[in-house]
Amino acid sequence: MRFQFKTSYNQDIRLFKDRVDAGWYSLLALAVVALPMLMSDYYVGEATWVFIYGICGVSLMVLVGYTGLVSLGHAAFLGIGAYAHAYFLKQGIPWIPSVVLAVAITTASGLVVGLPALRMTGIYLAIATLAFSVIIQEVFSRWESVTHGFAGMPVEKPTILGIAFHDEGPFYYLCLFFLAVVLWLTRNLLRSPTGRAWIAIRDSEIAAQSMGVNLAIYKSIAFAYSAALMGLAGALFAHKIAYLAPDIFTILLSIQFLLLVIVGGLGSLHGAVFGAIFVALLPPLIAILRDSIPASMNDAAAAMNIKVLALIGDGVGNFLKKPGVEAGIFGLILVLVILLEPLGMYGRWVKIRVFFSTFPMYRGATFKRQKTYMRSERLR
Amino acid sequence: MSFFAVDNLSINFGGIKAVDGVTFDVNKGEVFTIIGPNGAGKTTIFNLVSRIYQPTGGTLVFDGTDITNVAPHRIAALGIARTFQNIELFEHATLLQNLLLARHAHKKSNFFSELLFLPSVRQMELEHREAVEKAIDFLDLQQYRDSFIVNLPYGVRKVTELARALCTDPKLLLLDEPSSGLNVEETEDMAFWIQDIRNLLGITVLMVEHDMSLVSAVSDRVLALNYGRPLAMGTPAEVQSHPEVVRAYLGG
Repeated sequence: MRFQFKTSYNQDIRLFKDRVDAGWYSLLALAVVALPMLMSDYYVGEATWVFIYGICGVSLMVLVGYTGLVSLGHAAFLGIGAYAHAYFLKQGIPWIPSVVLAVAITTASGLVVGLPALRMTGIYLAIATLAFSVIIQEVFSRWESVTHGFAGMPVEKPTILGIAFHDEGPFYYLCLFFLAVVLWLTRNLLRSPTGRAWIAIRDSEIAAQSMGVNLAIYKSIAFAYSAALMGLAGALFAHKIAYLAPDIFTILLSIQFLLLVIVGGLGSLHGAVFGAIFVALLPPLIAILRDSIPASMNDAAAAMNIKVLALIGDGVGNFLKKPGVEAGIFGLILVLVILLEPLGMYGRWVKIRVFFSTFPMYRGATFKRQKTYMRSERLR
Repeated sequence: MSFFAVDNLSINFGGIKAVDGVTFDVNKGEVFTIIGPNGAGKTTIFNLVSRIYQPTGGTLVFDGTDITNVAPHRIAALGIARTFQNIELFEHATLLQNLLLARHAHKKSNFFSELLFLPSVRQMELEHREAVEKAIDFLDLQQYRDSFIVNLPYGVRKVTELARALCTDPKLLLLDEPSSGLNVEETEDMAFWIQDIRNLLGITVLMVEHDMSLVSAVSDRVLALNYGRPLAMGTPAEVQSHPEVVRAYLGG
C-alpha cells in the first residue's frame, strides 16, 4: 500500500498526484503514440474515433457531469461545428482560421441555447435542447446554399500550414493532439474557481448562490464551453466522416453522447474517455464478432466433430447480423450500468484500483455507501 | 448607527403574511438570536437577508449599505455568510472543494486565465488554500479534508457548513439552527465555537435556534417571533419569561 505524504499545498493542485501517477500517464501516452506504428490502418481509424468521441465526451461531461444540466441536443452543436468548418474550407479559408470560426459559431449558438437553461432544470431543459436539435437538423436539410441539404457535402482531407494530414496515421495524431489539449484545458478549469462553481451549481444552487456564484453567468459559461468543444469535435468529425448529410446529426447521436458520459461515469474526466472508448469501439467489436464467432465455432465443430457448436456459432452470427442489435446491446449495457454501477466505468476502475492498492485489506463493504446518484441523474 | 438594521421587514406568500413588520438592530460583535415556534418566519427572515426572497416591504441595511435590492450572489462579497437548516453542502465534492468554493467571492481570476492555469491563478489558489486551512484548523476538520461529503456523518457535515461559511471571511454570520440534529455533546461544542467565532474572530452572529440551553449560553439578545410578528426582545432570561412568549409556546 502506498501512502502520500503531503508537504505543500501545491501537491493538491498539480496535474498528477505524484511521480508514480505521472509515470503511469507517461506510459499511457507512449502506448497511444506508438499505436499507429504497430496497428493496421483500419484499427488506427477506429482509434481516431475514440479521440473524437473523447472530445464530445468531455464536452457533455462539463455540462451533464459537472454542472448538472442535461442536454439532449448536443448532436446539433457537433453538426454546426462540422458544417461551419466544411463550409469555410470550401470558401478557401485556411484550416486553422476555419476551425476557429467554426468553434466561435458553435460557442455563440451554445450561448443562445444556454439562455433558457438559466430558467429551466431537469426534464424541461432536456426537452428544450431536444427542440433546438430538431430545429437545427431541419436547418441543415433546408439551407441548401450552405449545407447542400440531403445531396450531402463532401469534406476534403485536412491540410494545415502546408502539412497534409490525409492518411489515417497523421490524422490520428491530429485528433490525439486536440483531445490532449481539451483534457488539459478542462482540467485547468476544474481545479480553479470556475470548475468548483459548476460543481456547486450541480449539487446545490441555493448554497452556490449564497457563496457568491452568479448562477446565470456560470451556467452560460458551461453551455458555451461545452458547445465550443463540440464545435471542435465537429470539425474533426467532418474530416473523419468525409461526407456530411443532415441525417447524421439526429437525436440518436445526442443520446449516444449521453450514454457515453453515463456509461463512462458522471463527474470525472476519466469517465469521458472511458465512455468514448466504449461508444467508439463497441460497434467495430460487434462487427468483428459477427464474422469471427461463426468461423471459429465451425472450426471447433470440425475439429471436435460436434455439429451443435457449428449451429450455435451460425445462430450467434445471424443474431448479430440482425438490424437493431447494436442499439439493443447499447441499451442493455446502459440499463445494467445504471442498475449496478451508477458511477459507470470510472467507478468500477476506482474500485479495482483500491482493491490492488489496499491488497489484502480490501473489504466488500468499502464502497457500500457510494451507491448514490448524481443530482443530474435524478432530474430534480 | 447599528451594524445591521432590519426595518419594518415584510413578505407575503399569497395571502399569508410570513413576515409582518419585523424591526430589529444587530450591534457589531454580538450574538443575536431569533426564536419562535414552527412557522413563525425565522428561516424566511434569513432567506430575505440572503436575498433569496424579495421582501414586499421594509429595508435591510448592512454596515451602511442598503442591501434590499442587491442580487443574491453579491451578498457573500459584502460580508454576509450563512448556513442552512437542512444542510446544503456540495455532496459529490470533497470537504476541501466545498470550503474552497466559499472563497469564490474573493476570486480575482477570469475564465481565460483559469483555462490556461496561469501562474497568477496558481498563486491565488494557494492563498485561498491558506485561508481554508485556517478554518479547518479552527474547527478541527483535518481528518476529513479529502473525504467526500456523502461519506461524512451528519454532525461533521454540520460543522463543515459552519467552516464553509467562515471561509467567505464574513462580517455577519447567519446560522440557521446550528444545533438541529446534533447530540448533547456536539451541541456543547457548537456553543463553544459560536463564542469563539464572536470573541476570537470578531464576527457578528445572527442565529435562529430552538435549543434554549444553547440560546441562553451564547446569545446577547433574543428576539421572539410568532406568526411573522415580533413578540418580545431582550436578554435570553427576559424573553424566556415574557408572558406573550410563554403563551405562544404553551398556549393559553
